[in-house]
Amino acid sequence: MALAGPPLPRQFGSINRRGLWTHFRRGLVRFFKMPLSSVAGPIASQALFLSVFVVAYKADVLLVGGFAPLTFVAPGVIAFAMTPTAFEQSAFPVLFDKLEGMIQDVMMAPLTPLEVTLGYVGSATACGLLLGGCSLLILTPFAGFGFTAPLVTLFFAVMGCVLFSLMGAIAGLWAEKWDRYAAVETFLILPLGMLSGAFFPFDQVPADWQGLLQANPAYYVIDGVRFGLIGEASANLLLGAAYLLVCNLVLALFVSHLFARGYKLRA
Amino acid sequence: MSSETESHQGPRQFGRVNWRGFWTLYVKEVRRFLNVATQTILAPMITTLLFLAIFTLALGGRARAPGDVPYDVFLAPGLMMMAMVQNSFANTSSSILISKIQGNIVDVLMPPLSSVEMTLGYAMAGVTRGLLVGSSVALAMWIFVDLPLAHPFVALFFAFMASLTLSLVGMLGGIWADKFDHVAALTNFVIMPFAFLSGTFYSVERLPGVWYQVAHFNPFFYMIDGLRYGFLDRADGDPLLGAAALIVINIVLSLLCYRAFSTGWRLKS
Repeated sequence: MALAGPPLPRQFGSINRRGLWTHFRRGLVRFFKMPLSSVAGPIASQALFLSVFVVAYKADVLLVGGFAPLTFVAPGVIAFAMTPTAFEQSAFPVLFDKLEGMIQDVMMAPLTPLEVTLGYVGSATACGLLLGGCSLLILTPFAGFGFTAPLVTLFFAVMGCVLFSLMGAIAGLWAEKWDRYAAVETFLILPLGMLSGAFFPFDQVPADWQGLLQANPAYYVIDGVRFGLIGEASANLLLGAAYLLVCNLVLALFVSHLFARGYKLRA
Repeated sequence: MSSETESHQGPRQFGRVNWRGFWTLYVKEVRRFLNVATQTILAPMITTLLFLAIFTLALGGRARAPGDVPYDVFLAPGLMMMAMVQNSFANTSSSILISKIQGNIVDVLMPPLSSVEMTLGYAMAGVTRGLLVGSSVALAMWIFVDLPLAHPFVALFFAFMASLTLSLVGMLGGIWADKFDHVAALTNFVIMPFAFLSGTFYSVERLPGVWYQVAHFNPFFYMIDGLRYGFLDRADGDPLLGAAALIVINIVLSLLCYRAFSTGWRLKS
């Protein structure tokens, strides 16, 4: 008579909290492994963007709402620091794990597809927010923010980071080599971020192009972040929030479906 | 017994310079970046066009550009130069660093190549990438911007010289670096700030006091200004002085690279 049978599988509730936390933490640890290129690098290039804009404007120019160029561009720069980071921090880990075969360790762990998605996307979102927080801290002394509605800024920052991390997860799953990843970054992420109103007021865009801008989800992210900081918005905030929520929900379900199917992961 | 006679031939002979070896290294380096042309040619082109779009949209008539030149025309040569310097630097630095990390740098160090040939091979491949990126950016910009080309040979001269400078700097950076973080730091904290702040986006003439003086000691200022002179026939500084400075800088940098290869600094233990 056997004294002990085979060990029972570990039990957890509807969400494997411990597994999810481990998966999430792994993403953060990764981010801080290369602090020079992951944190200091983006901050330095955002600072460059900002100083170039400030110097390039003639001395006494005021933009819409009577804001100095620095005050107007700074929120855009903060948003533009967050979103590409969120993309990179989910696309890079997914693709790297896949190419190195380490994704098995994630697929084999007792995590549901939704938890796998949440882990990758959650840590990437956290990285994006951290970076945004750093740029906010650095810029606050100079930029003259009014902090009209900080919670609005936080909401749109989270939405933007989640959106770009979800796109990152899709890109990481789809890409088979680094070249493809770079292509997505160049042809999708960069244009979405740059042509989003981060650096120029909406009313300066030629009329035929305004529709294109309004279809770009990053436009609402930047508009919302800017509204919270300086109280100036060119789009309807509620519409933007709804649009982003819908995009995020659809993409999250899609990504979790891809993980469940093992798209390009399982033969 | 042809195989026996061949085995008695001894090592291959060449003159003072192993041109064939140089050419082989050059072709290997060019193929390396052409193999991923989406990243190395197309991506810089798109990025530069995006820069053109956002800066023209944002600044329009409100920029510190000279009054008689439309802002997009003023900006175009600056952006071209920015793309060229970044890509020449990236080409040599990443190539050498990757070879070092993967260990296949021995395939360059072992063959009968002298330090001159190695310096030349890497540098010319970097220049090739710089010029390819520069000319594809120029072609793309001509679609959107009404850009004159006043002195083609002056433009070509400065494009060549600037690409060469940055290829040589990239070579030294790649030899010095131990990991990707190091090259990323050089790119983020040295190359990008210089490329951004040296008059790409504004005329340094309009900079306040000290910064105007500082600009004239910055080689990147002469690269951008020289290329702009080639296209627009107007310059903030003296193009002749700029040309002379770039020639001197390139000679010094070539000697440094030559020395790094011959002593095996950070390459051979």
